[in-house]
Amino acid sequence: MSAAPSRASSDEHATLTVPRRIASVRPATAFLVEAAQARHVPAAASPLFEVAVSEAVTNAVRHSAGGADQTVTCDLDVVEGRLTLRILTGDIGFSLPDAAPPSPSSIEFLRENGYGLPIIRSVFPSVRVVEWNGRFGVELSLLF
Amino acid sequence: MQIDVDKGGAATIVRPVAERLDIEVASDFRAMLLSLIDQGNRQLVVDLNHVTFIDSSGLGALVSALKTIKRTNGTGDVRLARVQPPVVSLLEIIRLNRVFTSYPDVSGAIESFE
Repeated sequence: MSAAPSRASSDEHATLTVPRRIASVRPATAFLVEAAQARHVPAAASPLFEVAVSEAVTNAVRHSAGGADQTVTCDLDVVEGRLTLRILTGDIGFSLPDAAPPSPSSIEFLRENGYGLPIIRSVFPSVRVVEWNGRFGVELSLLF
Repeated sequence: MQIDVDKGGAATIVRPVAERLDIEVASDFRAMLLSLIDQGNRQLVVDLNHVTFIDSSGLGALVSALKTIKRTNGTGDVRLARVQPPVVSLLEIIRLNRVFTSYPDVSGAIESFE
C-alpha cells in the first residue's frame, strides 16, 4: 500500500489516505473538518468538532496495530442529515481509548491520558469500532 | 514549538507561543514543564493566551506536570492564565476545570501564589 497521501471527494463523500504517523494528524484533521464544513454540517463550525476529529485520528495513528508503513484512511459521508466519519487503519486490529472519563477526584489517581474518548463522545453520539472494506477502525456519526 | 519562560514573583510563567498544543508538540511541552520542575520551579503559571486548540496530549502534559509537583512537593501547583474559550470548554468536558485553577490574567495567577 502506498504511503503517499491520496484523496477523493464528491458531494456526499470525501476520503483521504495518509501515512500512519504523528505528522499526519493535523492534515487529516483539517481535511475532515473542511470537508464537513463544505457540506454544511453545523457541528463542524464548533472548535470542539476539530478536537474530537483530531482525537480519533490520533488514536488511529498511535494505537492501531501494524508496522510503521501502515496508512490511515479518513472517510467522510454526509447523507440525509447524517455525518459519518470512518478512521480506518491496519488489518490487524484497532483499539478505542478507555471509555470512562478519568476521575479528577484525587491528584494521586489523576491520569495523564485517557481523555480522548470523552472528548469524541461530547461531539459524536455514536462511536463504534468497525470493519470496513477489509480494514479496521472507528466510526463516528451524528445527526443534524 | 516556541515556549517562553519568565519569572514573576515566586512563580515561573510558561507561555507556549503557538495556537495548537497537540500531539505534534505536546512531548516538547511536557519535557519543558518537567525540566522546569526538576530545576526547582514548583509554582508554575501556564499562560495559554496563544493556545486556541488543545488536545488530550496537551492536557496530559499539564496533568503530568501537576502530578510531578504534587508528588515531590505538595505546596507547588500548576495554575492556568488567559485560557481561551475553546480550551475552557474542553477543560469542562473532561472535568479538569476542577483540577486546574484558571485566572483571567497572568498577574492574578502570579499573585495567587503569594
